[in-house]
Amino acid sequence: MRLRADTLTALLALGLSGFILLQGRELGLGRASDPGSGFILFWTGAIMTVLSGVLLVQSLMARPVAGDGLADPFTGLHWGKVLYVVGLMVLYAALVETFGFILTTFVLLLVLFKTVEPQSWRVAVTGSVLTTFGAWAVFVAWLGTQLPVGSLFRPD
Amino acid sequence: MDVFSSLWLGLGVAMQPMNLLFCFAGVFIGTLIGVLPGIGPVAAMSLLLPITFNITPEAAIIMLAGIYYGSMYGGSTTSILVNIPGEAASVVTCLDGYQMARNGRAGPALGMAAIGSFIAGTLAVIGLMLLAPTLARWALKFGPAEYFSLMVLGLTILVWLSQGSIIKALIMACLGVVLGMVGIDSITAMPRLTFDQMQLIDGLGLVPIVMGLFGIAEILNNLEKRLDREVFQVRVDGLMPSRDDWKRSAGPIARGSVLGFFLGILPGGGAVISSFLSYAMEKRLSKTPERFGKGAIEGVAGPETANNAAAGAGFIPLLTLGIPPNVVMALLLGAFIVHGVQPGPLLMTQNPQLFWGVVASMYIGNVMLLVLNMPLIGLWVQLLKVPYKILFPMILLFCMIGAYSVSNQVFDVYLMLGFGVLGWLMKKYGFEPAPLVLAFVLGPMLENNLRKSLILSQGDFLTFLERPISAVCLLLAVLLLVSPLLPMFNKQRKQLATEES
Repeated sequence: MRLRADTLTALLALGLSGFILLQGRELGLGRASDPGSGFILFWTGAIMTVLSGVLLVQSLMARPVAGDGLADPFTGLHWGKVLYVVGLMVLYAALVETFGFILTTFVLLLVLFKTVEPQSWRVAVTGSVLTTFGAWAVFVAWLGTQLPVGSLFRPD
Repeated sequence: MDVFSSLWLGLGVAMQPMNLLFCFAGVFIGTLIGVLPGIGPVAAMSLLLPITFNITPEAAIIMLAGIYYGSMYGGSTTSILVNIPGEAASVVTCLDGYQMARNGRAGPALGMAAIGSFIAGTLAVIGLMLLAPTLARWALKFGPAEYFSLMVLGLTILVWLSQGSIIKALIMACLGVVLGMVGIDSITAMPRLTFDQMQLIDGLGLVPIVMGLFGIAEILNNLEKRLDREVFQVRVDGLMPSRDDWKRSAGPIARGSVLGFFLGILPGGGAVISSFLSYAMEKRLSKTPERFGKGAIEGVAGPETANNAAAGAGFIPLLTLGIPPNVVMALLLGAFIVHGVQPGPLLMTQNPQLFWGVVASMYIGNVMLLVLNMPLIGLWVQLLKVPYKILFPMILLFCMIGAYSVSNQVFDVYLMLGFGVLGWLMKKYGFEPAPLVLAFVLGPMLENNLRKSLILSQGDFLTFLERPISAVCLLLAVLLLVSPLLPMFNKQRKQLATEES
């Protein structure tokens, strides 16, 4: 049987609602005259449960139409490129405090320019250098934003 | 103090060199992001919010406000020249603006968009100036029950206007409320949903969430499509509209200003909806409706006027009630709070320099925008020629810097990326981010007011119905939620939602 997108999202929302309900109950509902920390959380979870249930029933009862499949929104699109870029950004976030903003940013930009929509080396290198130092000049030197220097390069 | 002496005080604040500089920076950046498809005012404001920590509250709010109304001006440029809206409120300008450009009339189209925007922006500030004091005095009578019900109504309108499924939009609003509760409970000091993580004790940051859902998600959506876009090769000269253009546009400008102003006050996407309604209204009122879609200047003047009037009016609920009517204003509320200022009915009396300084800066900002969008139009046209494949790594980098600089923690960058992927998936499966973000901001206020009302009324839920303003708000919210069950109202809602999308 083909899994429909709305069925899966409704099931996910139901699971999440259950978790919220439990968290709300654990925190304590209190009394109506003195609501506890979990009061709103619990009732929001309860409303979400009802809504997710309605969405689930709607998705199960609706007649199948083209494009309602789980994988349909990805058809014909370069979603692999998205995962690749997200992976690069996660790697960037993991390395930036060690190698510092300038080096990590330069490498990230160079890789993005060369691999996502490949540019010539001249454009890639010039773009990476200008953007890295431009961002550093604007955010750090002018606006006083603190960006990682890099633990590798710290004098201690 | 009467309105004019207050405005004089505001002009004194707005004319200070530093505030003038930040006003210019705001409207310049606003025009820039309006021109560039792929980054909207929400992402740009959240990116720049952290850098306002080191400046005065007046300069910070003046700049952030300038980004918002500046983006309304800039958005029309791409609509007219490239047939791609720079931001959502300029979608409808594509219909006739691009056709005018194809007919060799790009100049008058751009000129009319800028002049109409200027007129509407200025009228909206006058409306704000005259209406805000009255509304603020009225809001002083509000108690927690009224605030709670008003916020429920605001969220309901936003959900009602959501594209597609109301159920999905409501689920998003619930999720937003839950995310807003992460951190320490302000009443009992008990940690909630922190899972023993120190980074979560202060709650989730607004900037990483907004930047993820609106900035990163937008880039990811663009990445999976072709990154090339065509720039319509056209010489832009003769920006001043002809006498006939003026004759045709006078009515649409006047009607667009009034329509946009009143729709802008209402919660929901005021600027976007007002631009579509203005277009529909002008087409309906026109003696030659067949010209619409083929380069009618009324189709540019009306919507561009309406979206600017709505952008200005959107400040009214935030500044007078402390309730943001849309995501942009929610971000601005965040900026106020970061600077230790609580917007609301007391803002005008406790912080007159800030309130009137921001209002006065809008007059000045509108003049700056007219200069930026008329003589400097060539600069923006050149900018449009930079391909998106060169721009997107830079936008990504700015988002990373923005998220990191809020608290100097890589955790916020991960949070932004997580919400970016979530936003990308949400768009694919028909879930909208706006109700989530507004509920995230309103959630803690909503909870506080609900709990206070219940404590004050000793647990009597009828308190929400016994107070007239609260009862009316709740009744309207219920009617809106029930209306999709009635075929006639549901058809109208879907029409509005589709237009907004």
